Amino acid sequence: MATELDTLRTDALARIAEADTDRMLEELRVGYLGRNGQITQRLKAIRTLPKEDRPSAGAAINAVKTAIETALEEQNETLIRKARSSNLTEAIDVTLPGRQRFGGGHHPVNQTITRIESIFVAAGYRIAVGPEIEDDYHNFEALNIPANHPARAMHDTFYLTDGSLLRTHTSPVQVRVMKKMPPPIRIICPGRVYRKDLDRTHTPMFHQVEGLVIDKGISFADLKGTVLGFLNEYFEREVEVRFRPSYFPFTEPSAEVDIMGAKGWTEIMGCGMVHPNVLSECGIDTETYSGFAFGFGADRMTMLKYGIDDLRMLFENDVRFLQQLA
Amino acid sequence: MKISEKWLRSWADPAVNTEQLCDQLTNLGLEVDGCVSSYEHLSGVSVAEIKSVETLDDTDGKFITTCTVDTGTDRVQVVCGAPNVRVGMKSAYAKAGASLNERDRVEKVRVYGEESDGMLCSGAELGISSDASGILELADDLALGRDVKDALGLNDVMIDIDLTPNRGDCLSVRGIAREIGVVNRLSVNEEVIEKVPPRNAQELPIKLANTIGCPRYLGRVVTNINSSASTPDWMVQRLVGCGLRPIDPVVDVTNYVMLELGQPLHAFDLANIRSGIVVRDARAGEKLKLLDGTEIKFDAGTLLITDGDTPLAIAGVMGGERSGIQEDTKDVFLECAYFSPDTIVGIPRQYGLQTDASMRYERGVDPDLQLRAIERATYLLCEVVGGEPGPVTVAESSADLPDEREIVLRKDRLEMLIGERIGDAEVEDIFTRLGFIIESDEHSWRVGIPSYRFDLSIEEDLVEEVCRVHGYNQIGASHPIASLPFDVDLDRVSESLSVRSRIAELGYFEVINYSFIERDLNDRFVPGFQAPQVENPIASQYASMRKSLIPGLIASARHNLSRQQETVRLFEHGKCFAIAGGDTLQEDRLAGIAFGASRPEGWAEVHRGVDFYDMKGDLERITALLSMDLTYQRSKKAFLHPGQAACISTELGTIGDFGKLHPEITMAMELPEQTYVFELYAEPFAKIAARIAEHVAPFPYVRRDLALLVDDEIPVQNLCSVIREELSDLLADLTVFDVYQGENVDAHKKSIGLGLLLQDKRTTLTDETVATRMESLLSRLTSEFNVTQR
Repeated sequence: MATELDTLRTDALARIAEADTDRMLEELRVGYLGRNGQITQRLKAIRTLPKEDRPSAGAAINAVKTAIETALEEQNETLIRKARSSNLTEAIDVTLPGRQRFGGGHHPVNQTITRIESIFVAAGYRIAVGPEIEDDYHNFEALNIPANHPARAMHDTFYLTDGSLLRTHTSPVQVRVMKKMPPPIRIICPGRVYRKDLDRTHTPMFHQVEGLVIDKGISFADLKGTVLGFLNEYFEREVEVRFRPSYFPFTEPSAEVDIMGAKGWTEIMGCGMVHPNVLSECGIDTETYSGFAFGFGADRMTMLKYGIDDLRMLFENDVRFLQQLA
Repeated sequence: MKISEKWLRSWADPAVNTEQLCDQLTNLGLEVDGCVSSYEHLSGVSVAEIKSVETLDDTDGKFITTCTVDTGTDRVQVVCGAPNVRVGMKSAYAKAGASLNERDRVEKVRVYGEESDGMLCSGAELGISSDASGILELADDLALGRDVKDALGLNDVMIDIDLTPNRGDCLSVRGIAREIGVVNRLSVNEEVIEKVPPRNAQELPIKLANTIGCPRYLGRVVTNINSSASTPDWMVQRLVGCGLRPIDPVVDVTNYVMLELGQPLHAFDLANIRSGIVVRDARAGEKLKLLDGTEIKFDAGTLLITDGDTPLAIAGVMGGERSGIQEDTKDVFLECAYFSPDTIVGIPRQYGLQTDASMRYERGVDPDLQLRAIERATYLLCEVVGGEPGPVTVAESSADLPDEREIVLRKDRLEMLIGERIGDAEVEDIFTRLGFIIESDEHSWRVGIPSYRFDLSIEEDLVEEVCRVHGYNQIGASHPIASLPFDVDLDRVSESLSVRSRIAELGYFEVINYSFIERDLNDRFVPGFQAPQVENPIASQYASMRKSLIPGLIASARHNLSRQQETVRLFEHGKCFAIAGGDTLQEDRLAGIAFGASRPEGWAEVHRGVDFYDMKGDLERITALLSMDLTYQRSKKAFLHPGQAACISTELGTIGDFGKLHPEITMAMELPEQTYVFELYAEPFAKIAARIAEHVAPFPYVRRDLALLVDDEIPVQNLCSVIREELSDLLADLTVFDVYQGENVDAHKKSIGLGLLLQDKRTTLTDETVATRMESLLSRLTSEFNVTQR
């Protein structure tokens, strides 16, 4: 019986080594190891043997079974390897363009706003937003601009037929936040604003980012440090900056900030120490707290960053323009 | 405000050049917008000699001549109507193409049948004198061909200062000179103003009926002026240097004093004032014809200058035509008043009348200036047109005049607000230079504010004055020292960022459109709701606050289509507005538009136009951010194709619509027929709920495919919901891998291929379990939808 088993083994291993398709290999597996396979039948026949012979017979058959299994496995790998290496001769044109997907992207102004947000958030600020249709109180009165104040002429306001207005700046958001939460406050307020103006450098709708810091001991020097730090980070270079006195009803002292560009000084933002009337109006004690605010046009920042000279280009939405900056 | 540099330097003349002077002003907060030669627009005019004069027409008192003029390089023929033209005279010749001012250009013309190659100019035409009676006589020794600006030394510079509304005190040469004095430590050459003694006793009675609006009104009668006198050249040139044009000698004098001192004055023709002056509020409906010829009807309460009954002028704004100075005015009544800014403010805007006077009165005028100003004006008037002044009539209510102000500045407050210490000595020096009166103690200064600095009223104003004169750029930079609380009420990233990024990744470019659109368009897209309307739109196509982002996207898409972009994919995030139940709604939306190819053109692509299911696929990717179950119904939006558009809902409600744009709209808007749009509410994407992670079960999947024949009316979504419900504990994934209609499928039926991936998360699924569950699923599908298996 041992001899017969040896022959089976030798024969099986030889036939497996010769199999050169998956199908042949599978037939051999079924022939030896399948339900009615030669090995399976021999294993079944063990129970007909005398009890004392069973262990040694079982061990012998199992050894052959393992050998066949291993051989099947190895031959299978050999076949796969052979098949794959034959693929090595297949070559394709690697210079053909790949399958394309449509490109898309964020509007340059919104990219700017996102960047500005992340710069300030990293410095501990939070983002606050608010309505675009505002009332006179939040847009003007609470900001120390009573009716008929000459400063209203600085804001060519769009009024709605119900007496409300399109916010002329995002400062009303500051008012809303100051009224809602106690200091310390560090926020930036990005958003669309509206003024009745249209030329190369003005569109009736544009985007502002304003910032507000209220805390104990906030000073004009802090405002300067913040503005300088931000501008250097935004423009990714040491920017030459000039502060000059100006006037906003909601700040005192007030300043305009200019940066040096190719064509000389360019006005870039307004800022100042929050006017005590504004703090008081929002229920903040002016003896305990002080603060600064600043505001600038995100559109203008975008133009300066990307060298765009006509603001209206930003709102034409020409794909050939948008995809350059996406 | 435009100001003549020469005039300014006659008051304060620091040793700095024009550019440095402008920088000084800018750094003081008086922003210089630009500076130009005050005769910027005078060009192409040069010295020439008249070589021959031939009379063309001397009938009816005319004197028209043809002259040969030697320009230094050429001889030209010019037709001239001046009586003083003569051979050998040197005058100003403007060649064809020359400009005399912003408006007037010289051209080659034919007059009286003769060609005139340019013109000979009077002083008035050149804006250098008020003499229009003849051509300019130039000195014999001037070289021919020399530019007249150069020849006459017209080298003044007009500095244009963009004054902020608080600095009304700088709307004069005097005010700006004061600032220049402060920064250069110069004393200002105040014009010595002497009282002009009255030469007669003639007065006009003045009554103040509103002493709050007009606490002080000074008047003076000047009789017997010389109506043929003209404004002297120096005055004309200073007025021009400040951007004004000479009008007549009396008005020029009042303008001159206004520019010099900042005090507006008005001159009336005494002959047209009936009795005396009454300053009172207008009665509703009263009318006045103004100097500029327009007639206005007053609202009650506008402060007026009247002669009792009849309005003569709007206080502080503009005079009336009837009482204005005429060519033959003999007697003048000069007005010099202090009107309260609170009374004047808003009036110019209300009547659409912005004047040099109103600009000053709205911002404030030095309440201490009127007497000096009327003396100065009287002096200049008598110099220029002669005449005999009467005494100054003063009507005044001192209780209603502004009080003298004193502001306390605490030293530690100053240091805290600036962020660094500026020495006491420097602060006191700054205040002294500003003309403030100071008393100091250990902790504070008590600062007396001069009457002309009416803009200063609180401690912070003085902080700004210190910073301003010390120099904003001399102050250091620090950073706020702050606690860093983790504030959960406010955002750290823009709420819309993740959804906008997702849409951009799907191949849409973000656009930004105006929030206002044309009203009809707005209502056509979203009927049923009212939109907020802009009362004063910049143009009628921007009059209505948009109720949908789609019209804007269509406009953007069309812009691109008309520029040969055949495939366009755009999106926008922004607010839409509507009035509902009396409230104005302002909600963020996301919308997109797509037409053209479904994929970029390429060798490995089959060209196919974008369709409904492309856009739906995009929306499935977008809404996947929400991790919510979605259902789709037919959309009812007016702008969408009724059969090829869907409305997306979650269990909380509708979140938006998408589909093919209505054919009527694509026709009207000249868009491709296959144009697809979507519009979603942005709010669900702003607060996306945190997801809960589940264990990945280790048990094997079992896949079962179903091929079902079903009535073609039945939406696949209905079959899928039943499957999800029935197999909710086992279904890991469900795909629709085939939809077929045609051969071998009955009409009105469709064959749906569904792939079900099943897994039991607690144990290995047995064939028996799967079989039982599939059987009950099928029987339910059969009873609900009458399906049959293929």
